[in-house]
Amino acid sequence: MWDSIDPAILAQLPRQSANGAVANGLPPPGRTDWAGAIRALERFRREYAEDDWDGQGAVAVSGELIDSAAALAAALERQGVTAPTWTLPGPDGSVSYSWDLGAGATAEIEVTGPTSAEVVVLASDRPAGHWVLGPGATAR
Amino acid sequence: MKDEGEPVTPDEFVIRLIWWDFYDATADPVLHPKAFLPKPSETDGISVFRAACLSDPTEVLAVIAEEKRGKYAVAMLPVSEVVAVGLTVQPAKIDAIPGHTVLPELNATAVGADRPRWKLVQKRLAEIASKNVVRVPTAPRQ
Repeated sequence: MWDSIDPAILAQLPRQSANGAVANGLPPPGRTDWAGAIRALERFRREYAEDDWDGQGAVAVSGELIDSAAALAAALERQGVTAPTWTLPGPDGSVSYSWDLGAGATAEIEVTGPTSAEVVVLASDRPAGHWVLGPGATAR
Repeated sequence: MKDEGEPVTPDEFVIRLIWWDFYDATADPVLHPKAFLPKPSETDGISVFRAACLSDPTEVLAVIAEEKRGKYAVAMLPVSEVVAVGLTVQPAKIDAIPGHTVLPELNATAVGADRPRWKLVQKRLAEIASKNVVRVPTAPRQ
């Protein structure tokens, strides 16, 4: 389902070519590799499958959503996107990949459902970017 | 200590409980903005606590089940800086401990309606709180 990610979205993310150069003029931000992100997803599957996993009412992260997030990770890795700086559960039952892009800029892909995700890019030198991935998705 | 019935003043600090996934000692800032994402049930705003109403900031852990307390960081934010990002601090009394308040503008409905705008606010709050982490998670990672 994530095999045809809009190139305009991919262009916002740090990508590393075979010779090690990073596209977009951004520094390599990752402290983890994609395998680390997948290990985090498996931990979420084990530990966050029930509501209230944080003791404060967080919504369960469904196995279906984690499967989707793993498929998205594979698609991003195939596209040469560098591993995220953070792989996170959301208290709303989502899963996010987040990149620190340097100079305070960040990019985040939030998987909000089995077939839906949102991308937000924040940087001080341009307006926030917001895209929706999934059926009927459009840039915002 | 202040009585929780007294008005919140700009010279105070508020305390936020931070789930361990949102804290990374090697990151800069050490807290991720998701630490300030409202849950779907938080339609009245995210929870914070007034430090002035407690003798120690870590007293806020009393609202968490004992077996999960080790998975929380505790961070403080100056009320003046919370107000500077366009938020207010409103009392919302609970039985467990004194000084419970909410940031009413930062609620699940508002965030759902305009994610980019609120991600920027959450990012700023994470930057502020990262400078004042008073307790890091103590539970070992699995």
